[in-house]
Amino acid sequence: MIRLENLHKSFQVEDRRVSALDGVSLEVAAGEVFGIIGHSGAGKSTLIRCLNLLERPDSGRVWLDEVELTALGKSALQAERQRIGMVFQHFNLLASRTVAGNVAFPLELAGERDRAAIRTRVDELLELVGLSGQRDKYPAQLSGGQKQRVGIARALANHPKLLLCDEATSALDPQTTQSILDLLADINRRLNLTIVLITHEMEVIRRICDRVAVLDGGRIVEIGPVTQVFLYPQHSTTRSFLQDPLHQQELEEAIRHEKAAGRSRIVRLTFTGETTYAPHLHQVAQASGALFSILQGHVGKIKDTPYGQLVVELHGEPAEVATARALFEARGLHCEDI
Amino acid sequence: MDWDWTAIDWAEIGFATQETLIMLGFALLFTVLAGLPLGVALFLSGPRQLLAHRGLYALLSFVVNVLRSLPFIILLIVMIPVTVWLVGTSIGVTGAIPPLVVGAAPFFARLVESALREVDRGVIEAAQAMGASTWQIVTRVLLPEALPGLIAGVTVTAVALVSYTAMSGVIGGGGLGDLAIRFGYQRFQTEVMVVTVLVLLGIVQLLQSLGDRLVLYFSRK
Repeated sequence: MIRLENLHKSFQVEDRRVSALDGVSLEVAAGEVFGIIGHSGAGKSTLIRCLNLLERPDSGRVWLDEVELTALGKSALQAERQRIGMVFQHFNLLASRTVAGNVAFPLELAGERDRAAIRTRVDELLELVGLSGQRDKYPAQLSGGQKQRVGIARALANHPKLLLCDEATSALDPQTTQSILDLLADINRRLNLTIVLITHEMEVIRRICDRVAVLDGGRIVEIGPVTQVFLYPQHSTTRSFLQDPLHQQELEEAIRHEKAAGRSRIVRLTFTGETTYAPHLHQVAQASGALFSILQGHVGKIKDTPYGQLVVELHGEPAEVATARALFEARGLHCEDI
Repeated sequence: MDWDWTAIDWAEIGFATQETLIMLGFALLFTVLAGLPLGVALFLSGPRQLLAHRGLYALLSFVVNVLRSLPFIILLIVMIPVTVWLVGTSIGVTGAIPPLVVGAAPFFARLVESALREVDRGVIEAAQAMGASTWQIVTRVLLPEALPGLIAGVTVTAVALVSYTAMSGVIGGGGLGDLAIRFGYQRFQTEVMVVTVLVLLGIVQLLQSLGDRLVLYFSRK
């Protein structure tokens, strides 16, 4: 669907050059929701702007399906851009146009002159984003969440193949964020639209993305399915997004306390999918004779996949503990010593 | 001093007011026609803008600054040969219009430039992302979004033009300024001076409140 090959981009900041992208390559499949996460300054804004060439990379190529965007002339690029929707953090609506006027705008740019056709399409889109009653209001009369819905309707107007979301929920409160993410997930499912989004919030990735790339210092330091990256983070940047510092500190204290008492068989159990809600601990305890105390635990969902992660301490004879471990592995739980 | 209001020739004043309005109308029309594209060109060629071009911006900026730094009274005189070449005469209402336009257009262009700079960059970026051409961005994003600012600019320019039209009386430009100079100053008819000032004041008030209303009407923020 979209393919980036070895993108480099640097900016002149006063008297030195700052590298924003340092050899980024990635591929996003059709129908996928792909997230890019990074701290501010990691280069994620530059990266998403390179996908529709609002920012031109110094070197490297961008492919959209079979078209190399980086090789296109001005007007050919403008035509391709009409097939890429984009949603912005600060909405970027035209203040001088009504809701309907804003949604009609990309249609007009694309040369649609039939007023009835525009009206039909606009109504359809406003229906999709749940704003049918607001068509004649001006952006200044809308809430942040409503503005973003207009932004999304506008981005979808020309039936894009790809939707880019530039921190689309960062300016919204948690509840509104939730409803916008639900809307994006719904659009992805219903229209089978490929979505690439950037964010600095792990929650956004966890809720709607299929795959994620972690960006740090202009490089991708980790990439993979969200369940993989989220549950088994390899890079310190990824961990920094996942770990709540307070929880981490509390866990470390618990571990220190137990180890000081001579109890050191502490493991992290990770499980996903169907078996998440099964009574693993109870059944394994019964079968092995080992006992457990829970130091920390969390059960939740990554997009549609349930998962659980528990840090437990094993009590019992070495043989019992070994049996317990074997039983966990047999049940498909990932068992990691801490 | 005795005020003798009966000596005022009201027909003369009415005629002069009409001349002033004609000068103002045509001068404003041509000022907008010339200043708007110039202002758009200034904006687009400016640093970090859509068609950023250091050389072009420097040139346009220099021309605008030169014309703006020239006192209007000097411009009136310097322009005489050009005016004659353009409209065939350098006096009367017709002769006054070219210097008025040359004096006001650069001023208006700067107002246009600053009104366009007020347009949110994000909105321009969004239009680019939708595949808008530069022409579409100018006509469908920049100008409509900056409309209240542009109307305010036209208002300020119109008010400035009122005082310029009065000054053009010096070179026999016709209108209220001309009347004030010939009767009020040269013939010591202070009453005529007072009346012309009051009429000018009325015109300015009218223009300003009309402009303010339009700005309010088109503001959506």
